[in-house]
Amino acid sequence: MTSLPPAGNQLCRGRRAREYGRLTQGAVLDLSELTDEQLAAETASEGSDGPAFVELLSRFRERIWRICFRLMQNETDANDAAQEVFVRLFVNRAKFEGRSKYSTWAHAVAVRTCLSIRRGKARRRKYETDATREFQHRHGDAQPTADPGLSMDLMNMLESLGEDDRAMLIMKYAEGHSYEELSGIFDLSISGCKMRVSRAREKLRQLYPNQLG
Amino acid sequence: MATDLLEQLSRSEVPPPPDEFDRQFHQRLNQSLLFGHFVELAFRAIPFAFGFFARAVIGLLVLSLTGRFPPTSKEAR
Repeated sequence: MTSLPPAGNQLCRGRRAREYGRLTQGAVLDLSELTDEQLAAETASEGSDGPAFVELLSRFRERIWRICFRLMQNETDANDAAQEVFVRLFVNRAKFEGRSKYSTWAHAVAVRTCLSIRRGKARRRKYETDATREFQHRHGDAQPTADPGLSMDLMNMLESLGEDDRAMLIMKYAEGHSYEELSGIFDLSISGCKMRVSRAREKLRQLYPNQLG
Repeated sequence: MATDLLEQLSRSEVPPPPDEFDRQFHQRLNQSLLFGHFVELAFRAIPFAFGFFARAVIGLLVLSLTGRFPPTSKEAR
């Protein structure tokens, strides 16, 4: 570690002082040794996306990407969502109060962002589908009916659930979060999370008795 | 059982994030910060500057017409 210069040292002025400051800062603040929460506090004091946020980005890139990919179901949307998540993490960096783990907070932002993007897309799709259906109804086109039991894979089955239930099942079973973590992510009580998971599983069982019965 | 099937979710493959992810993110962040600054400039800074200088112009007019300095906010209290 670099030793501090004596007080009033004439060398500690101007450019040399700034260089010295960077060196000592580098020596004292080894970002890789800080916890996520310490980094988040450091990030809140940074004016721009400085080294602390870059470190957080590198720590959470894979995890956030995985959540986004599982929730969005394709790479393009996942990329879009993951970038949006990091933008929100940066913009709201001062709002992290440390009441939960930083990872829980970041995952909650990721889930909320993905859900809001998916809801927006669903609204647009519904509007387009309604318009298409009306067009087909007017022109007498037959709508092919899909057999839900034959070719649907598990992710498609989950699509038949509500967005929140689907997200909770994915976070529970795909990402392996505990009920305690889920309660932080979804802002529900632990028993509320257990109930929601149980109801979602029951709903799936009712919808696909052959696959899940 | 539903749980057994759901546990297969953790075995589903997830591709790695794109190589360009960091660069794209920083571009997006810069755009969003730029937009934020622009909004702040348009809706806060410029109206404040207009208000600030308008007060000075009004003060000048009042001084020209009445020969008195208009009371400042402290004096008005």
